Amino acid sequence: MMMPTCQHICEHASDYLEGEGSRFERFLLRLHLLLCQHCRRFIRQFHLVMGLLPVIDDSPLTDEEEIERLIEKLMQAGA
Amino acid sequence: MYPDDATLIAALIARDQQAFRYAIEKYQSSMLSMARNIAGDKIADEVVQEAWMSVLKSLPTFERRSTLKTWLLRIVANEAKSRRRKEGRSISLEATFGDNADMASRFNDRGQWITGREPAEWGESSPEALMSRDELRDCIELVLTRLPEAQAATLRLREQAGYSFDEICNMLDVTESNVRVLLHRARSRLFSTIDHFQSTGECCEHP
Repeated sequence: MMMPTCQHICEHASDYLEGEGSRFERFLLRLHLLLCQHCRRFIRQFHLVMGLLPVIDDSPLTDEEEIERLIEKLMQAGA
Repeated sequence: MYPDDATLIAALIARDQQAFRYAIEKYQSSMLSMARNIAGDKIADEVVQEAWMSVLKSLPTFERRSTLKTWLLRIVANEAKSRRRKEGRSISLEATFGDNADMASRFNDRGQWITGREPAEWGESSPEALMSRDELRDCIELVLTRLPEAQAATLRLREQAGYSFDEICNMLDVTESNVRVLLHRARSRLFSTIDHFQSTGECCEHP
């Protein structure tokens, strides 16, 4: 197996960061990262992307009518 | 008013109307996005309404092994999956994988970064720091609404609801290799969005 290319690193970043791949594949990937600053930066920043969704709060609901309608339904159901 | 999940949960169990208002304001939009991505726009409202009913029933037995938000999103995801199956609707796999042309165009034919197209240095060292920049956050939220349905569903199921690959396959009726490709494409799209913003100061999508 040859040393992975930068494009390969980019295409398999999710697998690498999720801990997938054989020990040898991971060794080759780490070796590439050791030698390539662009891929090191890519992997570091891709890892940040993987943590984005938990800190995204979709905009709060502000439609007062909709909120009231839902509350009424829930209170009725819970009564 | 509700400093943590435990306080809010206690108030919800006590049927405190203010607590319902707070929870609906805070979580309804995320719940709707999850429902839309899995069951489609048409029935998303009904799905979320049904999910709230289940929440009401199940709250006293909520074991608090996850955050309240994750638990709510899992209830929505399950409800959305059942409704999607009942309606005989399959997750849209057209443009499933979208294309990854933007990332692919950054490499030469030997698979190396093209000079000038390498990743920008973002500066921020945490997801929270990235999301604290208003314009960037708006841009990311906009791109999320424009991801192909299956990519958005996979991303939310994995990263907001914390499901395993197996569970996502089951929820969306797609193979594990599809799930992996979908997830990676969605993340790559977000990466490109942020990278573009960091180098140009502009969002790649327009409202």
